[in-house]
Amino acid sequence: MIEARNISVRYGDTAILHDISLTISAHEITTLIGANGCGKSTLLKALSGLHPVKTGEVLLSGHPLSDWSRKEIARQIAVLSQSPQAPEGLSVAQLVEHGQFSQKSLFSRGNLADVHWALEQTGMEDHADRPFDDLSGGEKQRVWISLALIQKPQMLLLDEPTSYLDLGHQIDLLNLLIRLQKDQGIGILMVLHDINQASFYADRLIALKDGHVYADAAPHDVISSELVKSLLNADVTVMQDQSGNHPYCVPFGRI
Amino acid sequence: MSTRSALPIYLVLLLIVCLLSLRFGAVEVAWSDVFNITSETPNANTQVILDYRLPRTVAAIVIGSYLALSGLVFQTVLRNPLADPTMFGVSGGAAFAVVAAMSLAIYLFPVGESLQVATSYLPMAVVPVIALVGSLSATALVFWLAWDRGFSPLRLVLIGVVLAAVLNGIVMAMVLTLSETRTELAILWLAGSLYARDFSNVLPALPWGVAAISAIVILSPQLSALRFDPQTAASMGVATRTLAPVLLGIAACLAASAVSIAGPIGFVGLIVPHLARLIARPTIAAQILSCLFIGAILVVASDTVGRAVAAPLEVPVGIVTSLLGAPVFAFLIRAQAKRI
Repeated sequence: MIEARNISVRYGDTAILHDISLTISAHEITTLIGANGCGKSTLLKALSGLHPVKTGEVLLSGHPLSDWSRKEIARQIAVLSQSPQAPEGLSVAQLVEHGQFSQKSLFSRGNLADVHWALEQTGMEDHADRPFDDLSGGEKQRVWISLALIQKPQMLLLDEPTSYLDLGHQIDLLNLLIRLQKDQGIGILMVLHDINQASFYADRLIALKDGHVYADAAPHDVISSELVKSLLNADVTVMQDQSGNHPYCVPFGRI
Repeated sequence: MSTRSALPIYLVLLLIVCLLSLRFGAVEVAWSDVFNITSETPNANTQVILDYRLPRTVAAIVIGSYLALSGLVFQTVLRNPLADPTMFGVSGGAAFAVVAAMSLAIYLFPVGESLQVATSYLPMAVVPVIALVGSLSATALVFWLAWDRGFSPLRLVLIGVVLAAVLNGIVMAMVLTLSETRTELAILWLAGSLYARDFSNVLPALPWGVAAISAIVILSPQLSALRFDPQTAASMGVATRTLAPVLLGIAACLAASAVSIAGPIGFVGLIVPHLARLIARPTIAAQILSCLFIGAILVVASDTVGRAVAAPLEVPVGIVTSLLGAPVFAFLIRAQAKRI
């Protein structure tokens, strides 16, 4: 679905990503992990065309991103950035309506049934007329996901969607993403900070270190105490769940 | 307030200030004269209203709505509540061009018959054209200086402010070198005055303005999406890189054609969008409509107050809007600070 071919990204003189090649599938949940500043967010932006690449190219459905207009990209990829900002005073429904921008042409208008559908997907349909500014952090995050869903994308990219949420809301949100993947067939690529959540919710982990892909496989093939030490500079003991598919980390010496 | 319930209120308010604007001024006329302007037996008073006041009122409506809508676009696109079209070289460029032309005319025709020319040795009809050329050139210069593989709102704001300061300095220097008796009209223009404007000053600004307003209305979904952060707007499918300069360019043209009629009229582009956001529904359509009406009402009212307060003398409309605008703006900032 999205393919990066030897992409490098720089901010001014600082190289952020070096020669990265990978393919992101629209049929699974892929998670980017890595230390702060390793280039996870930048990779997410580069893959969705929100940040230009210095060398190499990104292909979307087999064609270079530069061949697609912003609207055409928006119909295939929706991105939820880390701290999106909404205009003041909008109701939840008015905010979500804005996601129909890419579907609209000069003479066609958005439709309210789609707004309702998008809010239903995230369980926010009863809040349609509430002011967005009054919502809690967890509710706001669901509304942002509705805004992304109304674009009818094949892929949803999320940059640390669980930051600023308490554990209950984090799990709610991750379960919602799993459901969207299963029911709607939307591919998910997200940046997560919590390696254990990544292990339990992702089909595939991509570990980034200093702008390079350090590991790229299913969670049980990626997570090891050596990798965590090298990637995040944390001393952990890796435990196994019953299925053996979802290893998880606890602080070393604490168990 | 919903758009539908707001529209009649705006229309009634606009009608009231327009009638007041036709009724009050240097020449005392009666209400009966105001309502008889369409009658077949004109008298001296209805003639004054038709020839002098009506064009002024129309000019005030045009200027107010243009500046206010332009301000809304600037503030929205630049995501800066302090942005104002007059800040981006629009006013400075117009002032520079007009005062330079006045100086040149005085230099070329130092004495004699040119004194009969109505306004400062420049025929009134060419002033708007000169102002328009000046403001568009200055705006283009700001854009050109701010362009560096794309626009950064901050760089645009800073360069706009710097250029405005430089141009104002030059204008002041030029005004001071004009001989005393001849500075009056330059200063009157710089203060933003509707004195002696007739339809020939207003009509040229109409096609420009209607085109620009239509373009802004057509691009209103884009404008609305630009109220989100740039990443989110781009992710929704808005081509932010090309759209932002296009919208700013259209808004600058709109402001330039307003400034060309009456000189720089301050604070309208700055405060009206704030008032509109406070009063109107948060949809972009409601805010566009509110800006057009509130801007028109404010400038017509300001011009009327400026004429009525010390008749037969008049206070330039630009001074009135600044006197009204500064405290209103201070109040708005306090009100907003409370909400945050």
